[in-house]
Amino acid sequence: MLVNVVMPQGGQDLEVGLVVEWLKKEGDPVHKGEPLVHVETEKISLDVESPADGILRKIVVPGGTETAILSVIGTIATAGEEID
Amino acid sequence: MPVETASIAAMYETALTIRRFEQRAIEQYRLGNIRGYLHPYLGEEAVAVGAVAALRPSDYIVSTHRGHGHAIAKGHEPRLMMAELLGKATGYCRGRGGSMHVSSLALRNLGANGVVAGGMPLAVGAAFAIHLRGDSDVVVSFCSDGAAANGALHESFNLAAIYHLPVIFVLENNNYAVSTPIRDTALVENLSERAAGYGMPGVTVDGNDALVVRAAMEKPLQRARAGEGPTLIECKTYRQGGHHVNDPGLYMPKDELERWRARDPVGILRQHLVDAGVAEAEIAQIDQRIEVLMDEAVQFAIDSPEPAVADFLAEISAA
Repeated sequence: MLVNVVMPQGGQDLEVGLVVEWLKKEGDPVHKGEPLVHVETEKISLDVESPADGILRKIVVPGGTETAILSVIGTIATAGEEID
Repeated sequence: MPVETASIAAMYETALTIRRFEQRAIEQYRLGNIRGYLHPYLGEEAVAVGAVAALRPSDYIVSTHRGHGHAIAKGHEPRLMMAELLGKATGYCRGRGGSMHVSSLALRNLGANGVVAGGMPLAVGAAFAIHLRGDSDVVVSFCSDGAAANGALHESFNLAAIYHLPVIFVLENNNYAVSTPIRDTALVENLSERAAGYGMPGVTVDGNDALVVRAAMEKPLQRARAGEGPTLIECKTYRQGGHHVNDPGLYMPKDELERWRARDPVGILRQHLVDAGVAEAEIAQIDQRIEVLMDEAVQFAIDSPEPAVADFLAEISAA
């Protein structure tokens, strides 16, 4: 299964956030709750934790890029997911 | 299971329910499903759990802006709480209140309150009503170190004292009023010392051990039910995170946070269970039960309908 990593809401109804830096590379194994990517909004900077056990399948929004709150910034492939 | 062991098990279950509820609520906030502010009770679970464990169901509580733990300890259902946080029609206040206004008259929770020390005069009023009715119920007024220099706290202390009202002020000293450390706003080592100025007893206890908090309630409850007046219990605890979800808490020294995390209130209750001879497998069953409860709570909240616009006027009692 593919699980989306989303740009979190980090304020009151903010519209955009900044992906500062990915702490993992594509293909790296990740565990649920493990810091995955550092992001910033106008109100807070925080580490987004991996939403699932698996591997970091794809970085959709690279570091240094601003993106809409709740947009998909990466995907985690959980066990059983076909990797090409 | 002996009665006391069963009681500790119930307290552990409640504390872990609060912990997991807050973690799920933060997740829902990050997904944009909860709007406004959210003040997690993470790290302070033992205060609500210990204080409420000593109460009868007919006793009242008055909560604070950091109130989810108080409500869950008083018997609120996580799914109806989560629905309230998501602003859904199925929530405790039909979605009108949100995180800082969860209340239930049926469960005798007179409500969370967005104003620091704002609930305290309400607690005194409720205690005055009990006094006039001649009942033996007690009101627990939860408050915080952030309220300690607030006028409403001092007026509430004094009124409760002079009328010998059945209130127990449970002051959660978590070290910080938003980002201001308590040492910058109080020159006394223990805030309970302030009780003497009002002629009521004041004690300071370990707020991270629910059994200690529960034991500290015993005498104040007897005193309150006997019409002898209020007591101040200061519970020393720590906020394991920022003031609210969008406060990274960078002003909290890392070693200080680590020191308090090493005395985690949920972990301490778990250890009490192990010490009482409860098997790991049995504790794991509790943990598993709570995970299922949380999955259900989140799903229930997400699936619940928004309040209907047509119902808005129906909520107004006077035209």
